Amino acid sequence: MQQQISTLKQRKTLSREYKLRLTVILLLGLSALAVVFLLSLIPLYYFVQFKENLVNQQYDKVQKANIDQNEATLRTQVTEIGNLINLFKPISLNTELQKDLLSILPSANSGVKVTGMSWNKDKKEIFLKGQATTRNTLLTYVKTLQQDVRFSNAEVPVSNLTKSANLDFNLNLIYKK
Amino acid sequence: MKATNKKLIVSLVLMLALWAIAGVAFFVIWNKLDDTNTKIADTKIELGKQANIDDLKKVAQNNSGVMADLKTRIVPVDGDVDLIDNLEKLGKMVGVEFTIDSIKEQELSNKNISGVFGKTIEEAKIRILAEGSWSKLIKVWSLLQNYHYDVDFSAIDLNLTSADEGKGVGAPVWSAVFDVVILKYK
Repeated sequence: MQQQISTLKQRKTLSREYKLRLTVILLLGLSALAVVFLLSLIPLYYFVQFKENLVNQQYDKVQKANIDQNEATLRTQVTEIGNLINLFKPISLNTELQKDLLSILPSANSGVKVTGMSWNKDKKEIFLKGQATTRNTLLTYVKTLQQDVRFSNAEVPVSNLTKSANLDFNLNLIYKK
Repeated sequence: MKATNKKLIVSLVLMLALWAIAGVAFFVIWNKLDDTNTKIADTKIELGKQANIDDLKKVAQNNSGVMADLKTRIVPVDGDVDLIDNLEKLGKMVGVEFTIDSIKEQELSNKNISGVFGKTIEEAKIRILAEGSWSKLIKVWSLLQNYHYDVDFSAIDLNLTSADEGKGVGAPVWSAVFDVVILKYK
């Protein structure tokens, strides 16, 4: 009986010893895993370090270039260029104006003669005065102006049509451009 | 048994220490990686700025010729007398009676701009009177619109003053009023 108890105690002790050793082995295994993990971090560290250096160099280079070129000065310069260009209108506008104004003058044999013409930029208004041989010639001339898309409001006052021949006329029209 | 207990404690401490070191090392690398990514983003922003600067430089370079030309199309500070002389020469050249009736200096009509490249610009509103044949007045008009300085017409008035056609005296005489605006440095 006593021998049996002794054997049971021994078995318990053995089992505990076994578990302890197993735990130690497990802990050593985990330590080995930590070492492997640490070793694997070494190339990663160098790679990250290399990348960091490269990016820093690139950043410094670009930033220095940007500071040297001074964006604000360039921006001001470009704004000034824009301002200067805005001050000028295309030269073609002048030639167009002359062409358009001269184009409203009647042809020599139309029976209408213009003796005065004025144009005002702000009012966009053209004033014409002249003489027409007959009412019909004047009305034909006005109709031609009315059909011209560059101008509008070409109306001859009725008072200008009182005479049947050699009529003096005054005409206002709007230059759309 | 005691020896095994000691081994257990040692291996436990060793394991904890190694994982702690591994954790710190990983944290350091992770931080570096994070910093690098931030720097990459910053570099991209700087590169964007550089692209803007390049565009601005291109605009400035491409327009340098036009700028040089436009600057000469503004009457210089001391160029008033030359301007008047040259306008009068233009009239003489065409062969019309040519008078500069008035010159009025005024602020730029474009209120958003007061000057360029550090110089103030104003407008010279000039009224020009001319008298002569129709064709000569049209020539004056043409020359004015192609004048070296930028000429902006604000009003034009053409009137027949004497119609002598058929009477043998000469061609009909017309009078013209040209209201023009020329830019000048102040």
